[in-house]
Amino acid sequence: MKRDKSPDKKFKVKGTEALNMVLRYIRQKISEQIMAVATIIIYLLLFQTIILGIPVFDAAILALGMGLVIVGLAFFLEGLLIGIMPMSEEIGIKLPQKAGLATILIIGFILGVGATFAEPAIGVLKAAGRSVLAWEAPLLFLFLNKYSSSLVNAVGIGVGIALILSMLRFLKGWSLKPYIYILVSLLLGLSLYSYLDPNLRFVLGLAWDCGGVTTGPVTVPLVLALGIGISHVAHKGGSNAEGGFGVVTLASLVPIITVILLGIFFSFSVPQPMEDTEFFDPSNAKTQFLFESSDKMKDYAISNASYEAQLTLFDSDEQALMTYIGELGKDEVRIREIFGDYKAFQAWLINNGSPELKQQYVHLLDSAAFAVEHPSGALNQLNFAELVRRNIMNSLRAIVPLSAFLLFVLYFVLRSRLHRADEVFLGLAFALIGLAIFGGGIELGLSKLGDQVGSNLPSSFSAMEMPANQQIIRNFDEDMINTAIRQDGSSDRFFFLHKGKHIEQVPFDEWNYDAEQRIYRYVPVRGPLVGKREYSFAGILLVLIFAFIMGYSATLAEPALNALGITVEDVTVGAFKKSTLIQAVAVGVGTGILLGMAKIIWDLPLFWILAPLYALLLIITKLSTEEFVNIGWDSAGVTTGPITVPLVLSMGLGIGTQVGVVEGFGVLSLASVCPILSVLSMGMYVNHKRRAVLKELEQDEAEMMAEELAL
Amino acid sequence: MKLIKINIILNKELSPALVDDLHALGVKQFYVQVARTSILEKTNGISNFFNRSSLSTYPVEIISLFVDEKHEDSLMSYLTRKYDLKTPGKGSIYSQEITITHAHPDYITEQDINLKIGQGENFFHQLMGIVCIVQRGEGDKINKIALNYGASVPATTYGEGSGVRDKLGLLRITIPPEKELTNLTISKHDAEAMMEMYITQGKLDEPGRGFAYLYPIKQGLVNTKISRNNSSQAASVEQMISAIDSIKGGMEWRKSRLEHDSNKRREFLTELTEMDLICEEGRGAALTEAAMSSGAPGATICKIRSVKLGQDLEMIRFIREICKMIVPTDKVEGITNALKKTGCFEGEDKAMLCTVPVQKAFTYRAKVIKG
Repeated sequence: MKRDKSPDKKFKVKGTEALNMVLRYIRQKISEQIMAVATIIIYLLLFQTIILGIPVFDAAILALGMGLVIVGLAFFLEGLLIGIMPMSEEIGIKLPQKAGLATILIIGFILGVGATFAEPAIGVLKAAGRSVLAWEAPLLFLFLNKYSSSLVNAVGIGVGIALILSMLRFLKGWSLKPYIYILVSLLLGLSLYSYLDPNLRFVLGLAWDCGGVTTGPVTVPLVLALGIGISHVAHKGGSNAEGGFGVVTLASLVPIITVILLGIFFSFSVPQPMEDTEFFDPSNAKTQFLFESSDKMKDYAISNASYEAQLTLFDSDEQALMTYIGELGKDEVRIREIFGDYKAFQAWLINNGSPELKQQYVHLLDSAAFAVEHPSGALNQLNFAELVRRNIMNSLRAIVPLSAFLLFVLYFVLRSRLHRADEVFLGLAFALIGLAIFGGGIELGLSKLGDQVGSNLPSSFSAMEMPANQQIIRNFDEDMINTAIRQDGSSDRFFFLHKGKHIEQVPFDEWNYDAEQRIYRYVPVRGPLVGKREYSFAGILLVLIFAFIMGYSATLAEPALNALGITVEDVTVGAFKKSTLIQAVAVGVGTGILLGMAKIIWDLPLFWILAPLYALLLIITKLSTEEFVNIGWDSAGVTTGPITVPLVLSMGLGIGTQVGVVEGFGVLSLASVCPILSVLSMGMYVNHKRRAVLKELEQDEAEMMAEELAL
Repeated sequence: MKLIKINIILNKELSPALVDDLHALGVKQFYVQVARTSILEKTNGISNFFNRSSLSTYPVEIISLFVDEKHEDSLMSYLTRKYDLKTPGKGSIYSQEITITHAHPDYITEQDINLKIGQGENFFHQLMGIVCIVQRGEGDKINKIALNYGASVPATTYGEGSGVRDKLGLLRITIPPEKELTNLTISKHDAEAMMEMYITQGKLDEPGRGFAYLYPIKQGLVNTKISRNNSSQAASVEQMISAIDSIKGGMEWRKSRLEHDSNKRREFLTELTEMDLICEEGRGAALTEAAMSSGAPGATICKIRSVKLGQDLEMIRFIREICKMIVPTDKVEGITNALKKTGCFEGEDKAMLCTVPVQKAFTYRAKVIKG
């Protein structure tokens, strides 16, 4: 068909008028995002300044970051709505028309695997498992380090299988419910098995979290729109699969299964959890498997294990250990690699170093002290070029391969073309720009602020050391130490420290004192802010309430949830409002994060929290209508997005480190399961209301009949 | 081909049963459109104090089918009785006279309905329909106007508009294409006044607000349950209204409530025809472009589900698009020819075109200065 392109048919818009239209459009999009993000930003700022009583550091950079988040979100969401989603939907519509079943399933599988590599969540998982120790949870350690690529592969295959199952479901018009019953039962069975195995138990949290984080802000809208298109295919039977929902659900459930299976596979070649001294005993052959080389194992022991364990690894040869460290200290790159920074290396020297070694690195101790006295500004530490490059790369990787693959399928497999290609490509460009800006903004703004709040949060219920503020005190003299006696006769040593305008009593810790160099490493302590005792109920309650509100308000800004909400409103013609869905999900995420924090603080076993929740879900799913089952379960996958995850991580890490848990996994999976519950519960309420209206009518009718009979 | 289009608006929970019924009656093809109804939620306390009535929305489905006139009364009567559509709140049913001008062989327009004609139900004949097309999100404002007046319960659907927007190039992204269509069935005598209320209260006389048009309805029933109430009276107000409606055989007696303000002179668009083009999903935008190049001012494209009897006598569902175009009657022929040229009535686009007369329409029009 030819389109009339004569110039008089084109609408002429004057330059100023066009500018006005664009400005109005930009203003509207930006203000929408300001509304979405405002809650979480204002909340974090107020919490930090008023409740924790800590000034906001790097305010200028934070403000820049927040601005970038808003602009980036506006671009990204618009890119989703005019580019990625219409493109995917159009391809979804054409796919069943022009391709056979096998082709569709292969395309689905490639898309699923591709989506996992496009938005790798492994970084998030590694961050959550930063404090995992090799001897405490060997299998988990293996997955996060040496075999992290196997983990990504397992997740990718899981998502691929999920897409195959979803395509089949759409093409046949099957209900989502049986899928859920089978997958969840299988999952609970596997989880129970894992829970009973001491090694697999630690992998459980990781596996469940994999389900939540795999579905990123590009993948979700993409598969959702594709699903809508495919579900429009002609089919017999009921209208179960209409609307295109359910892909996200399966893409969240199946990877959990594949990761647990991978865990079971490797559990036979991995040592059981043990003490570090035993772990690093050279006679223990199995432990070597966890590391790429024996040098890596030595490095790991030095930076993580106790001094005794380090000695064991060196066959109790102290001289060999000192020589190893002596060699290592000459290489700045190695120090950063192993210890992270000079401070940790310096702490090792002070605590464990032999006199010769200390002598060798005396200049380092001095320079470290120098660095503490002259802190460099945060702005200088930030590598802007690197930040920009990284975020542009992330954005390109998340959007280009998947879109290119879909367009390839459209143009070369289906031999068709896009209807509004110019609009779609503009949308893709928007999404690219938006995601890059948004990513940078998150790094500079939101997650920095989250780190500040998260790392200080434990001080509300517990006295916590602030290693970031540690200082090296030189010319320390033992004569300065005083002794205080307790009522029971035992005594404590302390010294007076002149800090700024006042003098403070500081407990003396021998561990931090180096008598020869007369250096004392002073780590300030804060808290508990609420209640007088450590771990007071009020203090923990404050953390839990914080967790709930943070989860709630972060969810309001999640772009993938926004896209899901718009789709739901569209499919139900406004009978199910976007805002209703977002509110229900946000309450669910808040509850989930609250439970997750409780899990970390009290070290509750994840299985015993998840299992009852999922069992309950199975019952509610049985009672709910297909419509709400689809929407409710899909909201589980979209909740854990780029805004919530970094905030949850910094909070989880802050608290996890303080209370000393092995791993901080499970929060994200709880933040995924609770929204399903809240959305389904809301669905039951809504349905109840709808039925009540119908029932009212029945009653009216009965009354009318009775009257007629009476007449 | 002159046919009757029967539309049934039914609660979503009941519509699967209707689909089965139509199948059993021998209807070979019909269409289902997802919609919502909005009714007034009687509120108490604070919100009452601020005099803010809120709306409750419920999912409904609009089922429509084309039948020969000889089946009209029996089918409508049967469905009215079966789904108890005379009880306010249950739903509504109405029929229109339409003309199918062209149809792809894929469409079944001849229905074999095996239904014994019993005693027919009485339907109102003095009805009209008002459709108002506004920006997405504005629909409930229009619905509220109708509900507050107490006309009947409107049904709202979603669609995407094209027209001026598509002539803007990429600048079009600054104007959202999403529209809402509210459909209201109302007594002929109130229709003009209702339209006037839409225009004044809905500010349709301002640029970019929306479009409203009136079309004739042959016969039907309206849903008068405009609000939720848990009254303990023997009969609700709606029931009484509905009872009097049926005694009087129409809604004329309710007329006096709305006086038409004749002081205002509106420039209505007249001599119009609604052209409904049903086609394969994804093709509507291209086909309406062809129509617009021959004089159609714009189009609204909605998704509609087609349910068709397959070869193995099972019902097959698939999605189609319905493009609604309100065009000057003298342009119908040109547009039809332009559409024909695209080959859409024979090829892959699988199009069907039907026309319905439109009494009049209103939208903002910029003043044309002659000179």
